[in-house]
Amino acid sequence: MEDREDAGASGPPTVEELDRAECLRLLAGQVIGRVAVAERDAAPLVVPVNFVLLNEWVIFRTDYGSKFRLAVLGERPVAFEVDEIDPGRRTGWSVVVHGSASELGEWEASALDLAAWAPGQKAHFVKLVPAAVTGRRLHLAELPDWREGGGYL
Amino acid sequence: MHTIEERTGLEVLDDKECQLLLGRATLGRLAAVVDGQPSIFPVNFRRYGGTVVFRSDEGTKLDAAARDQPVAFEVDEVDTRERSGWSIVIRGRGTEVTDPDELKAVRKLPLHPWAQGVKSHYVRIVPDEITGRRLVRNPDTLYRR
Repeated sequence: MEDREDAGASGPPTVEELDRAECLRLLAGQVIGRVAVAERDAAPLVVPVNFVLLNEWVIFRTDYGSKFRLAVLGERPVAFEVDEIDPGRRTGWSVVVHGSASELGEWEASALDLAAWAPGQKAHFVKLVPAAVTGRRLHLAELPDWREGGGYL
Repeated sequence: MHTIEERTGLEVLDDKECQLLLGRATLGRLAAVVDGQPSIFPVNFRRYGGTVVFRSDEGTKLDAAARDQPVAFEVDEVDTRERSGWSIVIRGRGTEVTDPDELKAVRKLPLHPWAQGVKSHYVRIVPDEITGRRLVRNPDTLYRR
């Protein structure tokens, strides 16, 4: 175990914190993200959504009557994540928005180019207003020594 | 013949399909709640038996995931051009793998650390529930606004 820690520490810096402007730029370039909302005494709900960015709001659609909609509009904190990761090259980035969600008014929604991808109605538009936006760019980690054993391919 | 979920129009993936897709995927997102705040972490994972395993350093992710707390783990593959794809959500509990024999086994999994750090801890999520949905390419919604 000691050797493994040394090997990890000797590598170049591999995590870069991204500033808010860069996070928003990356967010704007994506169409799919994942929304997570806490459930009482249960695992959080997590749902992939297609979205658009309006000003700094993350806008996505939900169905009327879904458990997810109730949770996300239930004045609970919400997290939203987008990423672009290349497992082959082991590089990429991830941006997480923390905030609270509310329903977007019909007139505001009408101007948006946000189609429902699924055949269901998804008639409701939700806006997530960011309280915090954080992001990290990940680079290839220096792999520990082969002789350590078979744990790393 | 696939079941279609009426409300969403999505295809329901059965357990066999979920397991097959989980076995092929290597990137998932862990959703966990820390101090009442949900957060999402992309992780490199492997299916291991009926569970999923990923590596973690000490820190928020481990704190959030490995304290026998309810967590969710999402895996998806989306074709943004075709507007099709699938998503699987595991809801269960995360625990750190500490049993020496089990550690020996999970260390053999091809789990590379992506980012700086040792990631010497192995976290396993034991599912209580696995659900999967597929969005099939649909010409009607492809250009719908």
